[in-house]
Amino acid sequence: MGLNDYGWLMIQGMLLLLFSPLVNGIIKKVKARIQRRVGPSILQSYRDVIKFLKREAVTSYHTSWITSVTPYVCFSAYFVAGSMIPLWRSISTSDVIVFIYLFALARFFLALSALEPASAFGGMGSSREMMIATLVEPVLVLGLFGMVAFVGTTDLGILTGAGQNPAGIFAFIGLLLVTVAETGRIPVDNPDTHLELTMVHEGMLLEYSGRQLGLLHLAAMVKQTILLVLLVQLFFPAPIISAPWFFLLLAVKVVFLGFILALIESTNVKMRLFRLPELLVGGAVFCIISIFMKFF
Amino acid sequence: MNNETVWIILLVFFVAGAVIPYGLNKNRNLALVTGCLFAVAGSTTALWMGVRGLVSSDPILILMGNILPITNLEFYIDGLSGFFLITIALVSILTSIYSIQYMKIYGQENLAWWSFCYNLFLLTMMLVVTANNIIVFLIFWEMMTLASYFLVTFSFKREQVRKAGFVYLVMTHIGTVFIASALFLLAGSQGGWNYAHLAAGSGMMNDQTKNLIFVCALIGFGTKAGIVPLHIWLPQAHPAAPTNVSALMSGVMLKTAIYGIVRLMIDLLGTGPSWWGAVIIVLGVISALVGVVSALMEHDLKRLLAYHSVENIGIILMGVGTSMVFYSWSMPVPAAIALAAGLFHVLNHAIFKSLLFLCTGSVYYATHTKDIEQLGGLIKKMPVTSILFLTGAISISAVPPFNGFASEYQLYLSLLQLSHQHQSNFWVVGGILGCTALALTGALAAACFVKAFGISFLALPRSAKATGAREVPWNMTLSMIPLAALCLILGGVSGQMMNLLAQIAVQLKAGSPIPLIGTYPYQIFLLFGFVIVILFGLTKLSGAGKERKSQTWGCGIETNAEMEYTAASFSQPIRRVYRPLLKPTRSITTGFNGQPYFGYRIEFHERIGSNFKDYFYVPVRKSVIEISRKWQNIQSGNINWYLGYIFVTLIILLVFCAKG
Repeated sequence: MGLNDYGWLMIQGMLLLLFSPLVNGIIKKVKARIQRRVGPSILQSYRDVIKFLKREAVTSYHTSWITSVTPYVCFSAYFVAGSMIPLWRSISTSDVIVFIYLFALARFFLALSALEPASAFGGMGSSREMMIATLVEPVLVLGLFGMVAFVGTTDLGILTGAGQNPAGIFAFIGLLLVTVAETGRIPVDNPDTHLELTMVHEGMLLEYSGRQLGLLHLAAMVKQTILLVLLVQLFFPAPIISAPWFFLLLAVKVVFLGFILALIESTNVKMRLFRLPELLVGGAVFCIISIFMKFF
Repeated sequence: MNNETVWIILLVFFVAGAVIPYGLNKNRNLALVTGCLFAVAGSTTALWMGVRGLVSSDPILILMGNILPITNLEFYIDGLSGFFLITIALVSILTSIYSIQYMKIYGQENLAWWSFCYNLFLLTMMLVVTANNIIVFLIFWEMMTLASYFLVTFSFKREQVRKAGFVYLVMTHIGTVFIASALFLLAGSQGGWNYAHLAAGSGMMNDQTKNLIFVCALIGFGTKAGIVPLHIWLPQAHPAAPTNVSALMSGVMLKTAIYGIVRLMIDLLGTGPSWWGAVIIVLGVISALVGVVSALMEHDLKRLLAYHSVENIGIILMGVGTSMVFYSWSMPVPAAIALAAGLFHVLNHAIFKSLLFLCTGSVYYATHTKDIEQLGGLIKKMPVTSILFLTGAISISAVPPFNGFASEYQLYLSLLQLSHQHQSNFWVVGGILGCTALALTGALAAACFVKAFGISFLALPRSAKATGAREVPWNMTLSMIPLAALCLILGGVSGQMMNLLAQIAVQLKAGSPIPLIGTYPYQIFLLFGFVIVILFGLTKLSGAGKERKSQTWGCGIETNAEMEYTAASFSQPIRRVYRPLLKPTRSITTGFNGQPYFGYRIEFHERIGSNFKDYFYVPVRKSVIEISRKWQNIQSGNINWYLGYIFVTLIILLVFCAKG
């Protein structure tokens, strides 16, 4: 891989980075409209992140270098994961297994840093996050690998559009549930609060502040966007007619998926933590149906 | 130097290491250092021989003369033996250096005896994987078991240790019976003892004998490897042994059983039916899941690591089983790759597991406890050890770009191939479900090591022992640094390693050459590092690099160690979600002091059900005792009866012989 390729990866990562607060803003706006509120501007997420990044970071007396390093690790992991999804050009380093495990890398460090300040909130978030991960990761693998085993490669570029068939509909439902869980949305987690004992992701961020918090928020938004982009690319990819059209269509499709997320979030209530296995086993069942349809 | 001389030097080093400390026993420290240094020298020699065996295209044959009654004392180092020899030697060298300092906490015990068993243990492990005939194999296998038994029971003054040692001894001897049966069955139909002989004749055997040998070998080696449900000795024996010995037992001794499985089932028995592979994959999946879920519930660091050995043996077996399935389909190329993936995980597990055990030893050295609930805050007291432990934890949790991920990645690809080949519906679904199980195992392992590292190294110390901890001496950390470095390096050179290891399979099966095996795109992690560096630079440039320190927010109350999350509370959600597997029972009693709403004391007890003990071992033990009791009736105690038995037996034998 030459310098040129690294350059392209960086450019794609930057594009997703710039786009992702907008996606978040749009989801928030849609949610507000469904709830008959005016809601914040769709640019509010940019303002929030910029505000946080300007501010000083305050950490607990009990923390060590892990707390300082985690925001960088999480951000870079999602940034790199986003940069390796093949969009308008094929990428030699795109691999679905590495993609999944980059998420695991970010999660590992975030869960460790949540334990550092010696407060029970962080521990709670960390413990629940790891429990949910044990349910989410297998379903993610089941959904994606059904397609991978059929196509016979782990290259995301060749997998593009692999879900465009009847079997794909079921895999899509399964993976959509995974996306809801991974982005920490209702019914799995609630992104709007960290003052309840129901919190998972926000609980882990509780002791972060200033630029570190800004970076972690940004990382979460990037994660959300790349999961949506991945879903679009797998199940209804934008045709590559010309670059501007491609990006426009991609953006429209991602926003449409965001709209679905907002709809799910507004029409459901948060589930009890210990009912989550039922939800995700449901997702697994959809993925298995998809595998059976595809192969038999 | 020719190979025989080197081999004699190796033997001399270890025997000297075993015997000389007895002469020096007046000065315990000197005895210990001598024993360890001889072990280092012997292991280094073994490493050299292993490398020669691995790289040379022709196997090295070492004849040591005709000193055994029915067969020659001969050794044989081909690619497979060479690989295992390297793995054992590498871990042995570093563990021996570590032991020089670590064993000082056993200063009052008989260190010469330890040194004797330790050197013999290392030597016999190396001889087991290089033996060229089954008699030599069985002799050293048994010696290895006994040497490790005496190492497990080194602190025999504690009752728990004696009990654990007994369970270990019984289990492994049951295993040895099955191994011996398998090997003699194999040899019985050939009339020869050495491997070349056996491999040549295995084609003529009928399927029934082959299947019987397979089952016996699976039970026998499975006991040593710790396949569920034969794993019960593992979580008892490992915490009982000194930690450096646990590192060896878990890191490399279990692998001798994997060696046995590969040697017997893939090399000597030839190609079996595909259900052999299926059985091994299924057992691997069960071992991996049961191992990791049990590990999550443990709060004793060493027992936690012992359960992770069960998990990783399961992962290795998934690779070996996949390879056997491909061989049965006559697809040598994917089979070689799957076997290479399994062997790669053997090496990786040896490295990160011994690293984790040695770090646990350091924690024990510094705090005299291995109970996670009593630790905490060690990252500030023991900065080097904590980085080393974190490296091991990241590797074992299959987090990229470390070595645990590299081999699991290859295993994913092999399992996907299983599915993609489209042989039958069973395998299509089986391959994907195997991947799913691997993902679940990885996620659970990550949860477990967030717990193990987070609770014991981060936040505030939970006891006086942890508060008073200090970094361990340099010669302990020095031996762990190469292991940690290898975790990262092997993650980066996984492509080269896989190509090297696939050659072993080619040599075993005389198969066609393997095309270049791809690796995961590790370049992406260069980008990852680059992004981190840029972000770091930007923070520094903007002048916002410094963090302000303040109190942890605790709803207005000042936080202290008692308010921290504990290991038990960390694993509670998982305990609850995986309830069917774990069968936890809990009791909470609240003491009320007259006032109905304000309890002054709450007691909480939770126990994890032991499925295997309740549903397997207890019934088996009961029925054995029952049968023995029935047989008691023939033991009348009257000598006339016994003479009668002998007479009847004699007549039966005579009739039998006359007929034959």
